Amino acid sequence: MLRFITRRLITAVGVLFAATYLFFILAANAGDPLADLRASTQPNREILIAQRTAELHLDVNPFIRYFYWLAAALHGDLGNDYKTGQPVTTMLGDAMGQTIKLVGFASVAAIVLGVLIGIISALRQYSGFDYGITLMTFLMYSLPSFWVAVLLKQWGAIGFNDFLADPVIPPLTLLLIGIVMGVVVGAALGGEWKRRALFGGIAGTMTAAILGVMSATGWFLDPGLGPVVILFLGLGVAYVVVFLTTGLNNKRALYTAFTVVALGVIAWVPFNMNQLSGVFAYTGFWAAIGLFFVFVGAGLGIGLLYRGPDKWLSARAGAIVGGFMYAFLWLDYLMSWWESYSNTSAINGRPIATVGSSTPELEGSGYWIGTIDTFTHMVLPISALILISLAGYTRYMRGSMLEVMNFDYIRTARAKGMPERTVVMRHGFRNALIPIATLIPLDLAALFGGAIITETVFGWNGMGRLFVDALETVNVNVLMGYFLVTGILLLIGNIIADVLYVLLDPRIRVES
Amino acid sequence: MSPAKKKPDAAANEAREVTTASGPAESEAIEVIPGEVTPDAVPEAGEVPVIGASHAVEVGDVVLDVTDLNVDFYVDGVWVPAAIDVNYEVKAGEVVAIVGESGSGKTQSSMSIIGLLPRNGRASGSAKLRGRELVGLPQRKLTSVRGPEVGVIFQEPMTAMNPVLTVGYQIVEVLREHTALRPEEAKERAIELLRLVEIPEPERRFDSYPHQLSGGQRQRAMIAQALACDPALLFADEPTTALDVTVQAEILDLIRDLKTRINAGIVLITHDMGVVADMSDRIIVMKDGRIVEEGDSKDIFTKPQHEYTKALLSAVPHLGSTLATKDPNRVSKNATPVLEAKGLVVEYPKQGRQPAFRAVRGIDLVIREGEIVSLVGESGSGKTTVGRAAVGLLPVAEGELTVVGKNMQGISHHDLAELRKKFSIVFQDPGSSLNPRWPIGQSIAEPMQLAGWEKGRRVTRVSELMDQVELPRNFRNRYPHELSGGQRQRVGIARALALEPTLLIADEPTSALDVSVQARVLEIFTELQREHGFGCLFVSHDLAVVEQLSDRIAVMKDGVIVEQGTTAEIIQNPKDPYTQKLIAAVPVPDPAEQERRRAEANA
Amino acid sequence: MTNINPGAETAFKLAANETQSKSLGKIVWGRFVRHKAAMISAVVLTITILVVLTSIGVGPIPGWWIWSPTDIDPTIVNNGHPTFTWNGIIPSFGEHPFGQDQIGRDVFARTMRGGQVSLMVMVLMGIIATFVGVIIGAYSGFYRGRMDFVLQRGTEVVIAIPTIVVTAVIGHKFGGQNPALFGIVLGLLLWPGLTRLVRAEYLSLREREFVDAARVAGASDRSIMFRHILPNAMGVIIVNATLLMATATILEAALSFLGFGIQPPNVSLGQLINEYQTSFSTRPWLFWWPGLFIIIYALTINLIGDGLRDAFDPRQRRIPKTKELKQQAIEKTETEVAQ
Repeated sequence: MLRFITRRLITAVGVLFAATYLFFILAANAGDPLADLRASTQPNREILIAQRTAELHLDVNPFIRYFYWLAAALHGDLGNDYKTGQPVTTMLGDAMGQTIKLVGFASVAAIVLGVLIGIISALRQYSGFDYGITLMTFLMYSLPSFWVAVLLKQWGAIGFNDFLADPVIPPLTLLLIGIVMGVVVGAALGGEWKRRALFGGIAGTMTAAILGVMSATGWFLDPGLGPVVILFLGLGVAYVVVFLTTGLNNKRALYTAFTVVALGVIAWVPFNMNQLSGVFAYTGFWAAIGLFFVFVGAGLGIGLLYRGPDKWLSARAGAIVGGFMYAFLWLDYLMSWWESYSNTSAINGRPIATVGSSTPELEGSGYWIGTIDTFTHMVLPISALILISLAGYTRYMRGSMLEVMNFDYIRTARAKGMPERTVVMRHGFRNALIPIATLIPLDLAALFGGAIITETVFGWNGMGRLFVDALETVNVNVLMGYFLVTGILLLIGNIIADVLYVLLDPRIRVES
Repeated sequence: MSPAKKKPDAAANEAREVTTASGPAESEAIEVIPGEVTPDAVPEAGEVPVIGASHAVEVGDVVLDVTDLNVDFYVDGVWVPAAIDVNYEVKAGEVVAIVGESGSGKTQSSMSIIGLLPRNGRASGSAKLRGRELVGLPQRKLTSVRGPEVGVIFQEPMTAMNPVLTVGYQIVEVLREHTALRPEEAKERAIELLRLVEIPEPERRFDSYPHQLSGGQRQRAMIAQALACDPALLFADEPTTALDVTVQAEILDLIRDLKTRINAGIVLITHDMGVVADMSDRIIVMKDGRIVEEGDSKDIFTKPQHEYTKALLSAVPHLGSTLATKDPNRVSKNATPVLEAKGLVVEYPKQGRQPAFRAVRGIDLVIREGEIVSLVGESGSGKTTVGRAAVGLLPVAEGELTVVGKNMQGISHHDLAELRKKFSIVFQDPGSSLNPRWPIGQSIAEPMQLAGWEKGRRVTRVSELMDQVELPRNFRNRYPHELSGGQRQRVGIARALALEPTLLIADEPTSALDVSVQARVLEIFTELQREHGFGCLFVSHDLAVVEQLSDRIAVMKDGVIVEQGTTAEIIQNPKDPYTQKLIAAVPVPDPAEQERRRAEANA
Repeated sequence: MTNINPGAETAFKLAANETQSKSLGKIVWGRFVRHKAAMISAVVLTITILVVLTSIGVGPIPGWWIWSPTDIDPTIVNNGHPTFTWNGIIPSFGEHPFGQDQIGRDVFARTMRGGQVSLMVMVLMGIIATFVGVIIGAYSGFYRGRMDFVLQRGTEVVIAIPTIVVTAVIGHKFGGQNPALFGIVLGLLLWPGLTRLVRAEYLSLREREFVDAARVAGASDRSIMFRHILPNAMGVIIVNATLLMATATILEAALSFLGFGIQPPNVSLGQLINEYQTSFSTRPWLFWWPGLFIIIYALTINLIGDGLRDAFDPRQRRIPKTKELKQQAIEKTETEVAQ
């Protein structure tokens, strides 16, 4: 295995050389770095031109110039941005941070949702749900991202902000939403239509009711979950998790999950005490992460405490539920800050932002306000990204799942008398996941190059924006730095994908 | 049969009587789920532990009662019947064989009983398992029937097992699903089951993945999995078709042995009459969805009533039946050799990181003009490789190979091109040996076209050839997918004869065909060979088929020829132990004969 | 051996006097036609292309639309708003159904021109990418070993180069962006997507026995690759070429939007959106119409591609919905009872 990775790395370096060389030549010819100077009317124009020429070695032929860059790069010096004088490495660091925030969230959401919808679609092949989903994914696939982005800006931001001025949902809309929800849920379920109608109806009515209550109580201005809602959400999650992982017959796992939910609800009290929020204000991010692990660990421990033959299965269920409980608590507390955020002068009641990654005036307002600020700035670009990515993952997962469910061993599993849930999850899903899992590193690596369009439209200073701006001004150093980073990421992504393949599929063994 | 496998038949019978006669549960090391069959005594080593439905039946009880079963499929707007008015019974402890060719409905009728039909299939009628109606049962209830009441063994063990889960895990999951066994207990039981099906080193194999096992071992693991919960009924759908002859013999031994040790009724679905003769108590013959005849095994074989049964039986090659007609001097000893191999070594070249593989490790073989020499062996013996080397698809690594007078080693491009007009090859799989996008007339004409014949001449010749293989002339514009397997294979033969070859390589040409179709194709082939007089290398794993048409036989194993001689010599007086084993393993479609052979082997 | 009744063969009953044969192409077409979404898309696409091409004419051939993309109508009709109305039964087009832009040009004409350019780019790109992708994939998959290794590394290099940079270079060197050149360049950059699949097809098809049969008959490598294997790989190629073209449409639009694709005075759908994006709040129709056409192109081509994929897949069976099955069962029993 080690030899395999080494060989790939060596090949990768070779490819990187060739690619960066090619890229350098292209970048150097993509425009004129002296364009702005040539057009200027400053008196010391000639001197400035000479300076910049010397700095960028513009007098040297690009075919040779590459090696100047290479020599410096091998020493860790990627040059400076000729416009601002900033070292490229710093610029890359900043931009990467922004991009990771954006792309990370969007990808995780797209993958999880895509896998889920893909599986359901595959299981309900040829049904109305399947056709509907397929049509929608095709539509999303065919949408130009900038078009979507502009629309989101209009309705997502301006529209929503307007709505917040008077957050009342008219009853007709409530009815409509309820009906739509009911239909979707009913279609997604399988089985006899009576059961589907029942669940669909429940889902629809509940959605409409909840939204109605939210509308009536002005929830949108001062949101929050409260311990009761958290309890219900927790129970729901507990049921689903246990159902999917061990089956509802596994009593110990069920008890574990319930216990974790109960503990989570109890933890609501200390969570909301003011002393704790003080702690957060100082350590913010790390405290949040730390607490997450505490909850997950607690869930695990409780599962183990319940013992039984499958205590690790209970533990796993407990850990997942624990994570979710923490998420609910965190969300609830975050929401309690919404009102104060909305009322700050910089925001002035229009919280959803259309441009930029943060509100500069709110710098240093603490972890919670900062988080909300980041969220409101992220909502739109992430929605845009998810919309496009989701389509790809859904179709891929659906295709993979369909293929796997036609294999012989699925029939064998059924012939053994395994319940359908096990057949789908353990035999079908696990095999269908393999190609997806190897796709993800590649996809992520590509996305880290920055979602160029989205960042441009929404004004985020991520990698994509960096790249486009640099291209316009023919800022070769920045361009090369960008390409180096993304190229390395891509190649490493490739290697990781191959390694994952070997790990996940026992049939594939690397000859060493 | 290998003498090492002496079964303690008497002892097993005794043990079985003890367990069936005794009442319910003794020591309760195993928890009981309410509603499940109460487990019996703690099993002894080597005996099948009885915790499932098979405990509740006695030998002779009716386990499966099928009445007026009909299976249809909805294809392109119409309901197409696959099985019509099927009626039969299966008793505990007996093996009922359902015999038929492809399309007879044997598999589908059985799958419909346990609810494993594809979505566009439906079943009507009745199938009662121990008195409980299965047809129409919703899937949820059926999952508790499959496993503890019914087990299934499928044909292709490689694809029938989940490749990412270990063999042991796949057995354990069945146990944990249907019983209350704890994980350690389930593991123990799984290992015991693996030992029962005679997988060597069961503890180690428990953690192996399916692809790490050989074909025979995988099938054994499948059997272990199917028997895990001691079902009362076992469906075996062509369990040995995908296996080598010697491995097939071992698996059949195993199943027969299990038959005496467990109470289950076994439904054996197959097309191979030899397997049927060896194993079954009763036989049901199906054709086009209907049962055409049924009865005791011996009766069917000795006194078949229905036309189809008779036809089926007569199409099955009997080992030793044509020896009397063989004329050892049919081909003169002085005829010119068309193929001569001396110390031939053929390697598969290094592919990426896989090292070169020596498939043929030094053989001597001579084929004379007009002679049919068969090369017999199991998979991996190298026989196919020899065929491919003879037509230049693989290079000669060492030794000599002279084909139609030309040395194949280092042969020049030009010479090879000339040589190509003198030999040809017929492949095994008619489905993939013809280009699916070319009309068959074009496929047949290709060798002529490459040899430079002009259009008119080609057209005439194609018509001639199609007449010779007895295909209607207007088929020339059809595509392979519109023809049946036998018809496609005849097209392959026509193509091979296009340039009047001096040497013809036939690479398992009938292995993928149904028995009756095979008979027809071989008939045509033999006629053509007599007429055209080409030398033929007939590669096969089926000794009975080979015996019918060859003058001489060479037996290959692991890349070398272990024995060769005239057909009569090899079949009647095999000298090499491997040849003897091979002959012994060929199932003979005659129950009396099979019994005799078994008695001899065990003696 | 006795004579066996040939009727014992599996249930193939072909009348001896039938000379009509159904090539795989016809079967695929039959299946494609039954795929509703794909057929509708095909129809919509054809109509769209016809309108796009004929309305303002191509090159020297004139069209039937009054305005040309560059004409400036001095009278601002309806404040520049679209004059397209529909009272529910009969649509009325008016002077400027898509409205006018800030200068007074007819948006419909401009959108049509944009549609033409985008179409040309897409088609050029499709042809070139398919050609290059198939050749490289074929050689790579057929020969394996060294050649495969080298070609694959080369493919990786091409993948690594971001399209946008190359188009920027072209734009800089050749100024203004010749749409035809743009299409060709896109084709030369986007073929890797197709290559991988073609390579996979060739890798698996080369193991089939008809390849060996052809070789024994004396066929050359080239002959095998392109006369034997290629027709069998056509399914995969066609499907993926169409999907690639749909992606290209969106890519072209995106590049033009960023300013690195088609640039003024040339018009393309993406370039139009770029030009008009700032007017979104005041003149939203400028933004809608080009976007709509991009979506039409991409969506219809995607659906056609999906329809083709289903049509080529031999394992597809139209398994009817439960409702249908039940209906059939009822009908069957009814007819039985009636008899």
